[in-house]
Amino acid sequence: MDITTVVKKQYEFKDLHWNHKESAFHTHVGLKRVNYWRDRKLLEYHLNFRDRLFSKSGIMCNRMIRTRDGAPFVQLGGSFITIHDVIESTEIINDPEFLGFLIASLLEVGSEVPYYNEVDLGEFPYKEALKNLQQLKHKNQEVYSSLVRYIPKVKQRKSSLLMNPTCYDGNALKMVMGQYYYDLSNSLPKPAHQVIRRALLTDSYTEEDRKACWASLHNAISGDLVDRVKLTLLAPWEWTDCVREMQDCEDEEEVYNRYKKEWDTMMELYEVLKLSTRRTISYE
Amino acid sequence: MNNLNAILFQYDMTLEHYERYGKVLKVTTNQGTFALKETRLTRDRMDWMLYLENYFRELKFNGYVPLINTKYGDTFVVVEDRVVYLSHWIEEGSVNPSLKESQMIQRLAELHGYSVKDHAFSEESIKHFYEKMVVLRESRQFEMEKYVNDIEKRIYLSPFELAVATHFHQLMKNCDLSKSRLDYWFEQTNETKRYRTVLCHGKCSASHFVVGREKGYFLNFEKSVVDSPVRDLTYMIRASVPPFQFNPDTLVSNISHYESQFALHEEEKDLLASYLYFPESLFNSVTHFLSNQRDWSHMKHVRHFTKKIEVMNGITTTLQNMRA
Repeated sequence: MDITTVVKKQYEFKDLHWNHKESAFHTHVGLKRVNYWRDRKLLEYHLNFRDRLFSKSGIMCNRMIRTRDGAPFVQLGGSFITIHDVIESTEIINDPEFLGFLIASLLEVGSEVPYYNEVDLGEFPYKEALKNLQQLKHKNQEVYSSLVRYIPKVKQRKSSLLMNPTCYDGNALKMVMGQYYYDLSNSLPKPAHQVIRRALLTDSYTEEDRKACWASLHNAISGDLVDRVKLTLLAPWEWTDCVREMQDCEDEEEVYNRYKKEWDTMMELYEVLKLSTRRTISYE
Repeated sequence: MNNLNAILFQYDMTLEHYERYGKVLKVTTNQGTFALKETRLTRDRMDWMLYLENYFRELKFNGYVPLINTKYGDTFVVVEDRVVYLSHWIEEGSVNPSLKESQMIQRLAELHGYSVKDHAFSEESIKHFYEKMVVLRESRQFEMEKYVNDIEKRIYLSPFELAVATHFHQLMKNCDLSKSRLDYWFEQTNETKRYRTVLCHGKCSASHFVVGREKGYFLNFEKSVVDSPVRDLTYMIRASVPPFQFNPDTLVSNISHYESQFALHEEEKDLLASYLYFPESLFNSVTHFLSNQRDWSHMKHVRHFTKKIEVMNGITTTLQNMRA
């Protein structure tokens, strides 16, 4: 059975025509995109995530349009299809405050919707990094010693209270009927620290934009998650990433210098956010 | 509603035109005409209304206007601190009011008949209910007595205060009648050892009922509860009695019509009489006058109170005649 027949049968769309250019269906209620899924658990994660994002925060996103029977997806052999709106918006939206609110909402939803891959629950990979560091000892003694000197600070900054991974696909906000609309991809959830850092480090943002984004994120997140967001953001990810990248790289000095810059930036942020050396939050 | 287009986007509809009818918007879209209601509902009430939709489907009860889901399968759209829901718009056209009333009574009796549930008799819970009612009513009476005592100390009374003071004796008499019927209900229920509940619409009146294509449908189950059928009947009788043109025959025939579909137990009749005698709506008028949240003029309060007195008198006379 071809996809048009399936969609015609399962959904309440009329006047269905396939649009090759848009990879979507023209229907009596506008353009609708078909998404294909192989992993049912990932599909269910996205289904719950998107539904919850809307119900909790009111942020419109590409949720699954229901079939005639109210099902969110259709099974086709071993895979699944879902149908979504296509929002044709060319407007570039630069709203750091809303982005902060969006990230807060994504993080909160990420902490509520269980991620199926239990191996990657946002744990800080300290032990794994130490193992990798040992292997570096023989490869480049000098870099090894430099990285070891960071360990006391790493211990200060690392925490087991981290946010769960969440969905984020950059600052891809669209506008529909005067409201923001967030288009999510079908990808796996991303580590929370990457999401926060990526949002705050949006290229087009000025220093003021970054501050506004962070303030909005901080205000919007639930009280009990504020500390976890800070700890997630400030955990020494650049140190573990550096150690990991060193394993296979050819120029250790170049990698070290690159991550050192990031480390220094994060240490400044660490001081700004006033985390005490005893790993307790001092409330400003 | 500022974000009407964004709300209708959830239903894949494009707005063409809208008109406001009280709390409801009649929205004309590219998909047809619908009723859009914006309200405040708790999460529990939303769950309850969802449960009712399924319950009615299971019961095969079709005397209600079903809610329409969004394209994402949601029954409610949450907009900030409010909730929006959509249903089909039923065009009433020119319906004979007495025919509409008759259909509403028929539908109410059907709803009660479909959802009736006999409960295992519990003397303790009946006693608890009785005592709670007595305390509630006595405290309301006390409030009113205090109010009248205060105003009677004045030399000059305002028209509203004068109206209340003039009818106060009558109100207290009704309270006594109400109490005696509640006592009958309590005695009889303990004798018959039976108690039943139904699904009550909660606000059964002509404004929550529409007639279309020769069938009648209830709207708005936001206030629905599981309770004695008497709850709905009391509300419906009070809401349907036109002031200054009260016709006892209509009230009697309405109750008979209801009973032809869903007969009340003897003790339920006592409870109904007890509810109807108690001048709660008049006490509420005094509370409204004192708070004046709706910002009514003094004379509007007076007219409102006088209308309620007429309704109460009409109902009281009919009940006494029925008893005789």
